[in-house]
Order: sequence, then structure tokens, then C-alpha cells
Amino acid sequence: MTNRLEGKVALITGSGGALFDSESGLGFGGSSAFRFCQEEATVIVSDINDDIGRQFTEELKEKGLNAHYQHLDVSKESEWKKIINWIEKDFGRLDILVNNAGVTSSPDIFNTNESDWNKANNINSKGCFLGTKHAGILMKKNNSGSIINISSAYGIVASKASFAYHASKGSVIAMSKAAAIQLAPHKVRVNTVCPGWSDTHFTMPLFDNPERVKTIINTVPLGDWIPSDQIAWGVVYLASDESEWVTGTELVIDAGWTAQ
Amino acid sequence: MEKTIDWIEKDFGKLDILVNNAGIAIRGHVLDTNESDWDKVNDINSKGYFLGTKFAGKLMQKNNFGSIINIASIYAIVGGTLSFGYAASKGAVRLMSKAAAIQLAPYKIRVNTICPGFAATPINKHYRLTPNAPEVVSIRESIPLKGFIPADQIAWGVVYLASDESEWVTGTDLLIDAGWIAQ
Repeated sequence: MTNRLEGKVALITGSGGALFDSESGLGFGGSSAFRFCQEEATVIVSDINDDIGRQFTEELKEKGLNAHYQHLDVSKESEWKKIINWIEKDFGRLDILVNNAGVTSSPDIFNTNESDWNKANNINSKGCFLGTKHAGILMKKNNSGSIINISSAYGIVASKASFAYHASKGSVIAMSKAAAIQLAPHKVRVNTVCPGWSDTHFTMPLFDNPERVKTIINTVPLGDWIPSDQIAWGVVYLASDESEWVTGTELVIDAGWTAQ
Repeated sequence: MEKTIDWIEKDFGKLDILVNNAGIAIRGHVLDTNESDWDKVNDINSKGYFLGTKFAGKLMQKNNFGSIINIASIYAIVGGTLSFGYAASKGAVRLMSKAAAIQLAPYKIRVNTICPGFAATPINKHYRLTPNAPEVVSIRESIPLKGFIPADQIAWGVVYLASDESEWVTGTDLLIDAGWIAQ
């Protein structure tokens, strides 16, 4: 199948952070954008990093794919209003939103200061809220839509560090369920994807420490880093009509890590 | 089960996917569940999945590859007033799948469950036959997407978990429940 998203308009946040030949490979957003395009969706790539975002969008276009670029800082409501207005004017509709933009925050609770907390929660959590709200307003007009929020295995279980990150990703899971219930009357579905250990530019800094990498991978039942493309396929499933009756749940793509 | 797997090996040389789907529903409050009801529902829904996972796992192990999909239920996650033995059997499916996922991971065999919500299938034929019965109406009204889930939706979830698109998905539950559990 190559037309699972035919005719659908999709916005993917934080999808312009890497290029096809970047050292880290594409992230979850970029991989999703690529698979969405291949499945014949119209894809709006958005990011705060306009240079790389525009370049990545050009790479997609060079492959004959239907991609567009638009700047978006997910933590600002004014920017959400702007982009959703632009989408309505230019495309007439929005079928899929992937709230993918996110940042890490590694300190433990005692070393987390207010600005660490604000940054992680403004982007990971508030960004998801604003996206869900404004995309929801547009999707409601069509009585159809699928919102996919990228949480994390760290939204399900905790660790010795990453305090603000855990809080922000936990909030994404619960807020997705609340949104699923509140948007169900409008046939707008809301689900999360919870990726486990994946080797994207997000986790690149870990690779400076080979011991740490070994320790992490030893805890993964399937024994290796999850390719970001696997996250993309999960997002495609949740975006497509194959999951028309799936809402308010988590798709865990973690190589068995949280099942232990 | 052993016989079937032997036959598959002889005739096809391999097994890539097992869907443990066979199941029965026995309704009954805990205080009304007798031993034979318990045995029947647990033999088919729970022990049946164990045997399938074990013997399919042995064949899949030879190829270092496989995907096992166990059909559980929303009643593997929460309790209800009307079924007891069924809930126990489906809860067993959910946790045995996680245990099998960990134990079979070294052989690259994945094990996941699908937890369907209220679906219009033969096991629930009254949803279709008596749509206005008070019990059916009250179930439908309790579902956020306000309808019974077509069996085809479960099939697409099974296809996803069977395919290489989910090569790194194991030990988890895919809920296809129209938002019911999220409430």
C-alpha cells in the first residue's frame, strides 16, 4: 500500500531538525514526514530551525513529494493561530496533526531549576495543548481528524534523572486521553506514541559515552536502538483510517523496554 | 497445537505470524461462576494462548524471527460487573504476552496483545440484532466514539503488529476501543 493517507493534509511539528544525510539520520518528525508523503499525504513540515527545515522540505520535493514548510514555535499560541489560519486558507482543512516537537531535560529533581522546568514543559507539554486546541478547532469543522502526540517510554516509567522531561511526557499521555474524550463528539481522535530508546539527534549526546550506551542497550529486550522509521510507521497507522476506532490510547514502540 | 505446528513446518517450512484469536465469552458474576465455567473459559482463552505461544515460539525460534499477536480485551485492563472468569482469562493473556515478549526477545520473536473494545462481532451478535435493547444502548452511549467497533478495525491493528512496520514493537498492548478505557 502506498496511498494510506491519500487526500489528507498533515502538520508535523519539529519535523525540520535534520536532513536525509544528517549524521544522526532523520528524527521522529522527519521520518514521519517522509512516510506520510510516500503514503500520499500533503505534509506541512514545521520547526523553529527554518534553515534546515526548508532544506529538508526541498529534499522531499526533489523526491517528487508534496511537502511545504512553515515556521512554528509550538510554545506560542499566537504562532499556532497563525499557522492554523494559513492551513485553512491554503488547504481548506487539516486531517492530521503530529505534535512531535520536543526537548530533553536531563537533571534530577534537585538540579532542575525553574527555567529547566519551564523550557521542557512549555515545549513538550504546553506545545501539545496549544496544537491540540487549535488543530481541534479546525478539525471540528470537518467532523474528522487524528492528532498524534509523541510522548515517551519516560512518560510511563521514571528514572533517576530527567525530572522535568518525565513530568512533561507524563502530562502528554494524560492530556491526550482528556482530549480524546473531549474531541470524540467531533470524531477527532487523539492518541500518543511512546518511543523507547532510539538513536536520533535527540539522543546523540549519549553516544559520547560508550559505557552509558552499553548500559542502556543491555536493558532493551530486543537489544538495540530503535530506528526512527519504526516510530514513523506507528504514526502512519494512527494517522490512517486503519485506526478510525482507536482513540485515547498509547502505542508503545519500545522494543519491550517497559514490559519488564 | 503440537500437531498443527508440525504440519505447518512440514508443509510450509516456517511460521512468521501467529494470531491467538480463539476465545469464548462466559458471563457471570464472581459469586455465580462455577468451577466448570472457570475451567472452560481459562482453558480456551488463557491456556490456549500459552500453548500457541510455546509451540509457535519453538518453530519461530529456528528462524530467529516471528510475531505473535494475542487478542486480549478491554476486560484485561479493567473489571466489569458481568464477567469474571473471562476477565481473569484475558488478564492472563495480557501479562503472559509481556512475559513471553521478554523471554522470546533473544530470538527476535515479538509478542503483543490487541485489546478490542465493544465490537460488533459474532461473539456480541446482540449488538447488531437488538440495537435498541436497553443494555445495548447503554453500552453504546458509554463509548466515546458512540458506536460498536467494526471487526475490520481489529484486523488492521493485527496487520500492523504482524508486519515489519512494528519490528521494534514488543510486550505492549494495542487498544482498539474507541476511547472507552481512557475515560
